[in-house]
Amino acid sequence: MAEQRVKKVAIIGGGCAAVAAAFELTRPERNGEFEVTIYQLGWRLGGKGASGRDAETGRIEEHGLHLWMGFYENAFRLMRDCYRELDRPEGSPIRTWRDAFKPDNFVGVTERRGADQWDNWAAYFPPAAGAPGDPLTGRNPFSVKGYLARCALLLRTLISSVQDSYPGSVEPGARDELAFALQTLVASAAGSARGDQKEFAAKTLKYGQLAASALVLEALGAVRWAVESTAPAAGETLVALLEKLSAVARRQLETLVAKNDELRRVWEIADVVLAIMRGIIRDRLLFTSQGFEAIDEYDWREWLRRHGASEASLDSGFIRGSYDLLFAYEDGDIGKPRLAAGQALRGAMRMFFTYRGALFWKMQAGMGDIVFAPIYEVLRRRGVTFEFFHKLENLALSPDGSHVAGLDMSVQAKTRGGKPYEPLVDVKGLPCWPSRPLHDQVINGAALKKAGWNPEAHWEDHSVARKTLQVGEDFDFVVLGVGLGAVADVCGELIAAEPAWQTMVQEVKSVATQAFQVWLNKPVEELGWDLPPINISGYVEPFDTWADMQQLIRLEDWKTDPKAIAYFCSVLSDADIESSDDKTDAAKRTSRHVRDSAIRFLDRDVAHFWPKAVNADGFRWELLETGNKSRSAKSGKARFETQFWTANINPTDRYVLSLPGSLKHRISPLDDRFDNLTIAGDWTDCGHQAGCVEAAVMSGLLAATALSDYPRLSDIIGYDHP
Amino acid sequence: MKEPQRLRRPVPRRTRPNRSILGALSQSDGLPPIADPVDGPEAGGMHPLGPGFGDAAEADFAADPLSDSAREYIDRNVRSASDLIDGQIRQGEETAKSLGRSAFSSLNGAASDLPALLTGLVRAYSDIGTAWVDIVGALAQKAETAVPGTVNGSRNAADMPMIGLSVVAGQPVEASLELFRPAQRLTVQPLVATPPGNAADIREVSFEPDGSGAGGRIRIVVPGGQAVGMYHGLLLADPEGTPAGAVTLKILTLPEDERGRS
Ligand SMILES: Cc1cc2nc3c(=O)[nH]c(=O)nc-3n(C[C@H](O)[C@H](O)[C@H](O)COP(=O)(O)OP(=O)(O)OC[C@H]3O[C@@H](n4cnc5c(N)ncnc54)[C@H](O)[C@@H]3O)c2cc1C
Repeated sequence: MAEQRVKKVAIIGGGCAAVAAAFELTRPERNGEFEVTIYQLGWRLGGKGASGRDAETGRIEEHGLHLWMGFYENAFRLMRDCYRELDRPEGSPIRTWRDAFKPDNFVGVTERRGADQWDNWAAYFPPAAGAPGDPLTGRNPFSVKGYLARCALLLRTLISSVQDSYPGSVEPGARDELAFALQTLVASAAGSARGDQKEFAAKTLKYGQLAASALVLEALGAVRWAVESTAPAAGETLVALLEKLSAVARRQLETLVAKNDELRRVWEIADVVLAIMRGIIRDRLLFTSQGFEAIDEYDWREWLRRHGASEASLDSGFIRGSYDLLFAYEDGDIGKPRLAAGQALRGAMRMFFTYRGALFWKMQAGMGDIVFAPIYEVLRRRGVTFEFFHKLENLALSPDGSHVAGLDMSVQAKTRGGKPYEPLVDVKGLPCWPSRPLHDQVINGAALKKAGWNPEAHWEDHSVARKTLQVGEDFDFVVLGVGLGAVADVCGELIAAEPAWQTMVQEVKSVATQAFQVWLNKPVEELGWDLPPINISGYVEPFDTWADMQQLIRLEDWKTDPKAIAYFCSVLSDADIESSDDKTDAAKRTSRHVRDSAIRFLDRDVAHFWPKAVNADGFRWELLETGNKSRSAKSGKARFETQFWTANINPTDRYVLSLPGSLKHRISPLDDRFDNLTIAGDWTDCGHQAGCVEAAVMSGLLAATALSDYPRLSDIIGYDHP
Repeated sequence: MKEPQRLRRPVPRRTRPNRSILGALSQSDGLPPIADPVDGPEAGGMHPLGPGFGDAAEADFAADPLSDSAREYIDRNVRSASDLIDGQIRQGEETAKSLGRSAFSSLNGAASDLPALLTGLVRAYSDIGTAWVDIVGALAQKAETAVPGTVNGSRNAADMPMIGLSVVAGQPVEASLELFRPAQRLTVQPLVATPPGNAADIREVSFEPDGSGAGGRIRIVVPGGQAVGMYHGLLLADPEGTPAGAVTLKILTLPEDERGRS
C-alpha cells in the first residue's frame, strides 16, 4: 500500500474550541498524521477567553470574567494533559494545573428584597471528592433517573433541615457524604455559611411547629411513587403526590417564611426542586430518546412555572443567577430573559450534582496566561504552525458545492525579516500575552502603534497582503473555529448552498457583553464587605456579576501592589451599541457608553457590596489604584480612565445564547455536508448547548473526531448526556 | 502531471448525541487513568454523585433526624425504584455485551479494534433498543395517565403495545419509532425518502408479531448502496389500515469503500 501522506489541516481561529481540536489532532500518539496550521487574526490566541498584560503594570486585562465549573470534565482534562506535557521546571510560577486552578466553594447570589433593597448570600458548597478531569468511576453518572433520585434526596434533606428546629436533632459531627453535602447547602441557604449549625438550629427553633411531620409524610408518599411509576399496577402517581406535597408545604411555609429569610431560602430551593421533579416526570424526560432536548422549546422559568414553581422562587437569586451566568438576555435586553429549559436543566443538574473538587474553580492568572500560553507552547513544540495577523475573509466552495476549495485571507501585518511572530511576554517569570501587539516585531510597527491600530477590531481593515489557500496544496481539511458572529461574514457561499446553514445563522443568536475591572488601594473588607471572597451574580443591572480577584495581585507587576481587584460584567444591550457609517467612531462611542455605565454603577450601586467605598458625593475615586503613570494625576471620576473596561461588540466576540427553540438549529461538528470541513465553537451542536469553555472544548474534540474518528465519542464526557 | 488526490472526511459513526437512556451505555468511564503525582484526590469530601451509580439511595443517612422506621420506609422504596430501573439498564448492557460476543466470534480476524467494535455494537443495540425505550416509556405513561387532568391524559396507555425496531444495514443509520396510538398488529409501508427524489424506497420492511399478540418487532433491511438521507415509513394498524405511527430512518454516509477513496 502506498504510504499515507500527511493530512494538512487549516484551523481558523484560536479560541478554546480551535485549540482543543489542534491539541487532539497533534497528540504524539498520532505520529504526525496531521500537519496543523492555526490562522488567527490579530496578535493573540483566546477569542472570548483572551486576556492581555498591560505593558507598564503587568496588570491582567480580561475579555470578561471567566470561572470554570467543577463539571468541566473535558476542559480540565485538556488542561491537565497540557500542563503535564508542558512540564515547567521546578520553581517556575504556575508549574502544574493545580497551581493554575484553585477550587472555590462559595457561590454568591444577590437577592432582591423590595424595590431598592438587596441581600447578599454566600452559599457554601462542600468540596467533593476527586477533581474534574479525573477518570470517571462507577457507571453512568448522567442518568435522568440518577438525577431524580438526587433531587428526591435533596428534597428530603431540605425537609429534614426544617426538622432541625427540633432541639438536638442534628449532630454536626455525624457527617455523611451526600446527605452532609446537601445539608450544608441547606444550612448555607439558611445564611449560616460561616456560623455553626447549632446556631442555625437555635434560630429556627421557634418555627418548630412547621408541622414538619406532615411534610415528611407527604414526602414519603412522593418517594413511594418512584416505585409505582415503574410498576404499572400503581394507583396514585408521583406527580399527584408531589403536587399535594407542595400544596401542603406551601400553605405552611409561605406564612412563616414571609418574615424569615433563612426559611424562605430553604423553601425557594425546595419549591424549584419540586417543580423540576414534577416536570421530569410529567414531560417524560426519564425515558424520552431526546433527553432534556424535549423541553428546549420552553424558557427555563416558563417550564418551572408550568410545573408549579411559585413566582417568588422564580425570582430567587439562584434562578436569576442562572440567567446571569449565561448572559441569557435576548438582544442584551434585561427585559427579555430567555434560556432554553432543557439546556438549563442539564446545566443545573451537572453543576450541582456532578461537580468534582469544587463547584467553581478560579484561574490563578489571566485566562490567556493560564490556558492559551501553555497550549500555545505545547502546540508549538509539537510542530503546529501559527499564522498570526491572518484574518479569514471568505471560505470559497468548490463549483459543485461539495467542499471548501479555497480560503481567502487578509494579512493584517507582516513580521520583520519574515520571521515567525513571537507572541508572548514574560511577566515575573510567567509567559503571558500582551494586551497590545508587539509592534517592534512587525513591519511599520511604530506607525501602526501611533495610529492606535487594533487588528482585533472587526472594523479595522488595515491589510498588507491578500492570499488564497488552495485545497490539496495548502490544506486538505478545514476546522472553522471562528465565533458564531463571524460565520455569516465568512461563510456566505456555504450559507447560500445549504439551507441548514442559513437557518442556523438566522436562529442561533448571540449577545454583546461589557466588562470592567478596578484595582483598589484598600481591601474590600475595609470597604464593608463581610462575606468570603466571592463571585456573586444576580445583582442590579447593568453589572449583575462581581468577582473578587484578589488572588491575582501577586501575579501582576505593580510598583505598589493594589489591595483588591474586582471584575464586573454583564450583557450589553444591542440598543446601546452605537452605529454609524464610521464604524471605528461608533465603536469608540459604545466604549464610552460602557465607561459611563461603569462610573454610574460605582457611584450609585456598588455601595451595596462596599458601603464604605462611597460617601455623600458618590464613589470615592481616590480608592482606585492607578499605577505610577501620568494616570495618577487624574482625580474625581476622570480617575476611572486609568482602569480597564471593554465593550465586546466584535461579531466573533459576541456571547452565544441558548434561546428556547433555537438549539435544534445548531449544526454539529460531525455533520459532513461539506466533505473536508468541520466546525468548532460553543455555537455548535456539541452536546452541551451553552456558551461556556466546556462546550467549546467539547466541540473541538468533536471536530477532531470528525476528521479522524478520534477521540471516540464515548470518551467525550457528557456528549451523550440526556 | 496528476493532481494530488483530494482527501475527504471519514464516515461519521453518527451525527447526534445519543440522549436516550441507552446513551448512557456508550459513555466510557474515561480515558486511561492520568498518572499525575500532584493529582491527589480533593481532600475532605465525597463525589457529589455518591460512591457509585444507584448508590445514592443506599447512602447511610446517619445524620438524618427522621425516625428509624420512616427512614427505612423511604430507603426501601427509593432503593426498589432504583433497582427496577437499574435492572433494566443492566439487562440492556448484558444484551449489548452478548451481541458483541456473537458478532465478534463471527468476525474472526477483525479483532484488532475490539473496543471500537463493541462501541459500534452498543450503538447498534441502542438503535434496535429504541423499542425498549418505548416499552419503558409506555410504562411511565401508563402510570401518568392514571392521574385525571394531567397532560395527554386522554391516551389509555394500558393499551400501548410493545413494539421493537430492528434495522439491518451495511452503513451507519439512526432510527426511531413513534406510535401515535395503540395498535396490536401493524403493516409497515415502504420507507420513502424526504424530500422525495431519486432515492429508491426501502421496501424490505416487515412486522413480526410476538407470541403474546400484544406487540412485536418491526424489521427493516437497508439495501447496500442506499442513498444517504432521511426516510419515513408509515405504520398502519391492522386490520383497519389507519395510520398508527411512523418510523424514521436516517442514513448517514456510504461506507468508505463505496466512496472511491484511495
Ligand atoms: C464576557 C464573557 C464572560 C464569559 N464567562 C465565562 C465563564 O465564566 N465560564 C465559561 O465557561 N465561559 C464563559 N464565557 C464563554 C466562553 O468565553 C466561550 O464559550 C468560549 O471562549 C468560546 O470559545 P470558542 O472557541 O467557541 O470561540 P471564540 O473564543 O470566540 O474563538 C473564536 C476564535 O476565532 C478567531 N476569529 C474570528 N474571526 C476570525 C477570522 N475572520 N479570521 C481568523 N480568526 C478569526 C477569534 O479571534 C478567536 O480566536 C464567557 C464569555 C464572555 C464573552
